[in-house]
Amino acid sequence: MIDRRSETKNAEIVVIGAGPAGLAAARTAGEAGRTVLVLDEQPAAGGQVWRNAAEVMRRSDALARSYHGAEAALAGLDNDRIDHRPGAVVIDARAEPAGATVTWLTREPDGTRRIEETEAAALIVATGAQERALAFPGAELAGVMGIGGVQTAMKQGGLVPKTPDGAPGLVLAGQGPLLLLTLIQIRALGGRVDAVLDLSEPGAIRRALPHLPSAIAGDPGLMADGARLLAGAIRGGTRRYRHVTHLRADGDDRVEQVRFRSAGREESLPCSILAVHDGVIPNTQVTRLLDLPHEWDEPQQAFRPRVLQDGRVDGLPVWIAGDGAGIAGAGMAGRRGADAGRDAAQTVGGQSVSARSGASPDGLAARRFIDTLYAPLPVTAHADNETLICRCEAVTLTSVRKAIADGGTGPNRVKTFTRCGMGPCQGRMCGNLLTRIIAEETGEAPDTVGALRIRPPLKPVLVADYLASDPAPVPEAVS
Amino acid sequence: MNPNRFDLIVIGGGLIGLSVATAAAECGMRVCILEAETCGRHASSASAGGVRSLNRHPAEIPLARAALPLWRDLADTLGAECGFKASAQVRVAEDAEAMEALERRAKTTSAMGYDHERLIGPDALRDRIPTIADHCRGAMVVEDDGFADPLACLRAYRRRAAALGVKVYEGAPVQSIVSTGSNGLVVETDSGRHFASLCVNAAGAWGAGLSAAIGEPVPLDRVALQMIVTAPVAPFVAPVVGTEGRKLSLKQTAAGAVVIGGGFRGTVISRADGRDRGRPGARTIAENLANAVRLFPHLAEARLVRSWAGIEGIVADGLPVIGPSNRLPGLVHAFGFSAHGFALSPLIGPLVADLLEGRPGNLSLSAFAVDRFDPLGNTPACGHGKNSRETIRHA
Repeated sequence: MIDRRSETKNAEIVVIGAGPAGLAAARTAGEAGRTVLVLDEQPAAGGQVWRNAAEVMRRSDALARSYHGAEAALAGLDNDRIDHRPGAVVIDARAEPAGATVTWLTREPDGTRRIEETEAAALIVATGAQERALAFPGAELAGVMGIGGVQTAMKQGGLVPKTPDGAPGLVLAGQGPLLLLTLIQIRALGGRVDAVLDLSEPGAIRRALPHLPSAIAGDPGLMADGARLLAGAIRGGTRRYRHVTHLRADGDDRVEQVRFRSAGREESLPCSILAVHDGVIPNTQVTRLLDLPHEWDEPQQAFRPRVLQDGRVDGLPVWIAGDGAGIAGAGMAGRRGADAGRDAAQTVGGQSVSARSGASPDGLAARRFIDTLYAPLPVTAHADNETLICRCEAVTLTSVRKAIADGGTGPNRVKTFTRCGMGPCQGRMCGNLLTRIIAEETGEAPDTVGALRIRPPLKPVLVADYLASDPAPVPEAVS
Repeated sequence: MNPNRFDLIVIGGGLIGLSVATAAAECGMRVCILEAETCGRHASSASAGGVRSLNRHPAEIPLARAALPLWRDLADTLGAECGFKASAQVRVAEDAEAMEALERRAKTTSAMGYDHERLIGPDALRDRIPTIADHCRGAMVVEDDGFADPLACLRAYRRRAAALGVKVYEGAPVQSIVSTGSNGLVVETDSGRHFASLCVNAAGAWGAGLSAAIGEPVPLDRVALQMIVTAPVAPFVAPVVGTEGRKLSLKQTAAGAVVIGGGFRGTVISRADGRDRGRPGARTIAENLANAVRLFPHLAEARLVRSWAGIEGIVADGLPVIGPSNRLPGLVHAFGFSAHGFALSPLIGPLVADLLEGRPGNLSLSAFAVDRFDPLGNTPACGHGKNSRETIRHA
């Protein structure tokens, strides 16, 4: 049985995630008089973008500049109606028209966990973004990571990826603002980036230019930030390779060198850390677990949950706030979170509340420019036949293609054929790749192809944490 | 010739339907499968994969024993790996009461002339499974059972069916079966009509909807059978293990993962599009894990990575419906396997093919007759299922 001695009172509103969107949603819902339970996996609120906020802001180093707005947002938790649970791991969630149920693991002061089940009148999912997976040979080697991993290390531990004198170095590969920001931050914190491999496709700038005027007019602040990023990245003088193709990491267990082609030439660089990035996509693990309708976002090459105004899901007391409903960045996430919290509070409480923030449903005026400039790489741009698509179960591109040719016209069919997406991460990494590969191979639209089904538990759970609190007594040992 | 004209239409593309379709195609029939969703979507892929003759209902023992040699040859028969592994099945008694129940069972089956089940005491149990918890008193063992990989089986059957020219229509829920007299049967789906002189109802949990609609009601409960799996742990158990008096089925795969089931039920989620889903339940997962940890306390330190559920039909007496329809000539039922169909699946194909072709079989099917709940046949000829896919017109 799930522990019934639970001390958690059932909240009126459960918010999953305490990044910019979740914090804003909790604040407006709390201010509207609702009781709110905020479940967040991280040890402190702030999400990925404001990770470890208190300490980073105190250090006030190069990282702290991207924590603008964090202090005010975090202060929103200071409300008796808001119960914030850091270190909470959501393992299951169900929603019906009458309400939602969330099963989660607590983090007790002594570090142990306990399973809890919370029923709520409304559920706000603010689980943010995740990095878009990039499939290339050697991506599974130790030392190869997403830029997000570098960000976490810098924010959480103040660790700048440095390599000892004379050791092969740090290489960044990919495209997008986060890559540029990370480059600047590493240098500002005293680290050294040996090379940047620009994976963006030739002609992207030319294609994006027509969208530049409306982007500047619609979101001048963001575009100015972007211009500063570009200038800062170029000024640093880090060696940059353009139009990179055929990216691969070599090494036995760890990456030792990175190979690629640039301007038609074969290149190789010694490398002990390769951080890659191809933008971010909505994290849809919770919304898929809830079995909500999703739609394919063609420019961003990813699914997003289908929502109405204020992020509400049609027919259910569920709201999706922030990048989890479509990538729009931290500023927009806060506004969309506030709207979702307000709307959920109004729905639960039945009273009228203050006006909306006016967040546009599109999210961002500059989006078309950014989406075109950093158009997601074709799904197999850097993959060869033996490249792993699913790292948990070591499933190669060839096996996936063979399963598709064998009648695997959907991700779940390919999963049963190959075990692709069956590992502990439940396809969080490979799911997007899988949908895109099937779409490419079959010529079907991604909306028709669909996505991997997600099942509880969302994250691996220690059996002991999941056990009955009062199981039937076990008889004495047989002598 | 009409492309929708077949010798046999199999309704349902689970393991039972696939087995029937391939067996009939092997006999030279032109066969199609009408599958409402995708082949093996429900009970077949949520199966624990046990090939068990241990502790079967007495009526099912001959079938389960007859299926074993077919399992051993299945990879050769289908020309593809099915993951079958010969292995003992062990039913553990945790207390004196359970041990007595096993002793009673042993008496009953040996009186019936069976000798495949054997009782062992605590020492023999510990010799066989050194990691078993101290309190366990003994067990009933079948040495020559085994387990297989349901997903590999599905794939192998599908390939074999395709190689034999079986037409598989997925996303084709059946709306009605109509008899046209001398012209045979017409089976209508959303996407068209299919004609054949013979038809098999292998619709699993939906089979009772079809049978009720032609006036052959079967009390069947649609449940979401759930399975759970852990991350790999060091090898600790070779046989498939269950518990007398508690719901458990546990085995360790070659990769080290522990696959745990045993009949716990999640929730059936009804959906407007008729594609109902099984969903594992948090509470039943906890109960299932608890039953596993009772036998193997060290599993408390394992990590649960995944759970899944598929919809299965449990008939009131726990036995499947296998045999000809009394209402619709040419129709044979093979559904409602009540959570033990997997082990029988390689047998059901050839067995139903014999029925279809009028060959006498050597297994008694009287316990599985469709009219066993309604021996007088006094049910009105028109029934109604809840879903449109269960609403069948009778000509």
